[in-house]
Parts: sequence; C-alpha cells; structure tokens
Amino acid sequence: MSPAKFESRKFVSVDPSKCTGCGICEYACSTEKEESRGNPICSRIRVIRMTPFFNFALACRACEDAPCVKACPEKALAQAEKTGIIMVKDKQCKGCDWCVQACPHGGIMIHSDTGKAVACDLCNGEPQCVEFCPEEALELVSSDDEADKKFNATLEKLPAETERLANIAKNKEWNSLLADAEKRGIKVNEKLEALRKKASSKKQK
Amino acid sequence: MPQESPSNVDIFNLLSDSGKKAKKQQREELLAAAGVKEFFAEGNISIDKRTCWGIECKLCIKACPTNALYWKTGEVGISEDLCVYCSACVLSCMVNDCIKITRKREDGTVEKFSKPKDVIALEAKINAKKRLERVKEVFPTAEAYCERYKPRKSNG
Repeated sequence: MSPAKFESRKFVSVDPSKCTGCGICEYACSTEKEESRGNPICSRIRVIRMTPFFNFALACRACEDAPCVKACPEKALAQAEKTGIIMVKDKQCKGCDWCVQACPHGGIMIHSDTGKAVACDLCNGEPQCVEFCPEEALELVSSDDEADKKFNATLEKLPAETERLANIAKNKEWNSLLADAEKRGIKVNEKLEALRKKASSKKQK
Repeated sequence: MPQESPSNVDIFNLLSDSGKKAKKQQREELLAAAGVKEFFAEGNISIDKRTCWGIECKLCIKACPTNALYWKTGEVGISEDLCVYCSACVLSCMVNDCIKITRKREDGTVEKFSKPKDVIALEAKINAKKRLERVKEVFPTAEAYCERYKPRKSNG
C-alpha cells in the first residue's frame, strides 16, 4: 500500500443494499447548490437504478491522481491539498468537455446554465445528500477499498434476497411487501417536507 | 469502371493516401507540442457564415482552448490541424446552428451537435454510460445473475 496522497480524503459512497433509488439526494444537492430552482439536472450526485436489489448513487470520488485535472488544457481544475476535492476556477474554465471525457466514473459534469464544469465539493464537510437520504444508504468514506467492501457485501446478500422475493411471489403474500413500502413512503415523505421547508426559507432570503 | 488488379496501381488513390498520412503526422506533432490528448478518431467542424455574427461577437475565438479558431479579415477562420473537436465553441456561441461539429469515437459512435442544449444532453449521456460501466465493473456477475432469475414465460 502506497501512502495516501491526501490526508483527510473523503467522498460520498453508497450502500447498494439499502439504496432504493428514490432520487432525493439529487433534489437535496440541487436545492443546496442552485440559487433559483431545485432542478435535479444540475445535481452533482446521480442515481442509477439497476434492478430491485441494487441501486446506486455515484458522485465525484476525489481520485488520488485525478485524470480530469491532468486533462484540463486551461489548468482550471485543481485539487485541494488535504482533502483532494476538485476545485474549478470559474474564470479559466471554458466548457470544453475534456474533463468529462477523461473521468472514469462520470463524476464531473458541465452545468446546463453557466457552461462551466462542476463536481462534488462535499458542501463544506456536511454533505446535504447524506443528511437527507431516507434510508441512510449514503455515507462519507475515506478510501476506495472501504467503498468496494460494501459493494461486495451486497453481492453476498443477493441470493437470499431473491429467494425471499420469489417465495413471496409464489405464496402471494403481498401484505409484508406493502407494509415495507408504506414504511419507506413515510420516511420519504418526511424528508421531502424538510426539503420543501429548506427551499422555501432559501427563497425568502 | 475497370476493376483494380494488383499490378495496376491507382496513382490518385496513392497520392491522396500519402497526403492524409502527412496531414495526420503534422497534426500529431502540433498537438504533442501543445500537450493535448486526443479523444476522437475523426471529426469535422464548420461555421455557417450567414448566421455568424462576425466581428460583433468573437466569443468562440476567446473560448477555444487550442487556438484553432482565429480572426481572419472579415470572418472566423479555422485551422483544422489544431481542432480537437471539443465543445467549447458551441457552448459559447450566441446563436443556434452556427458552428457544427461531427466527431467519431474510436469505437465507432458518431456524435453530432450544433446547439449548446445538444452539448449538455450529450454530456449527460456520456456520463450516464460511464456510470453504468463503473457499476458493471463492480458487479461482473450482475448481468448473468439477472438472466438466471428472469421471470419465466408462461405458456399459453
């Protein structure tokens, strides 16, 4: 193991067995970062819905040798010294999409209004997506191995999960599934209302 | 048209081939000097002079990261050796359908755009593709797994 380049490197990672793919993290990110509207198109974190069992939310990983920083021709991108967060200098960024082409995770994107590159900056240490996640699936993680461990753990859970669902379908016991869904719906509603309050308070300012 | 035989060499074809090679080499040298990496195999850029605002705007010239666009007397000039088919000029342009870019990736997909809106949509598409690839990397057996547990088709 080579010594870590960034002392307190952190990024948002997901536990796929908990994530339901609701997309509240996208709304939370865009209400925090955008002034005028909560449009998930401008969100820094994105949800991938694969199957009922695994859903993902991926954001910038603050790589140790960030390929986007290397690819930038105008030197508009830089990494913070301790945390490895990717910072964009708005004056120098011109919106050529080379960082987008170079990124292996799809973590950096170009803003639809300003035409400048944007990436996850952890909201000054308190990520709003982590705060608003109704299933507590998002977490701050400090290394790639830690993130991959969770991914592998869900792989092991998969057979049991599929069998459980198959049994439910066979015996037609839908009530347990419906009760689960209701619980989740209540949680999602709570978080949505908190988001709405936050957005309205922001507008008044 | 007479068919080609190995003894019968088409001089015009050879000439155009060597010309292409020389152009490619020149391009590579120029780009290496600028420290630029290419992401696309082929590409084409054109500017519609009727819709271009010309001297009143010049935004694309300011935006170009490799200085492939320059101010000719009376119009915007393009030095195609330097253009790497990024989307900076299209994003900065004030009018739609002025600068048109088509580019081809090494795996054969062709991307075409002429409006800032198209660029944003295209970038979102590229990012989505990469994320899916990333997820599949972690779950190499996911696809096989889904196939195994597919809902069975009922007969009749």
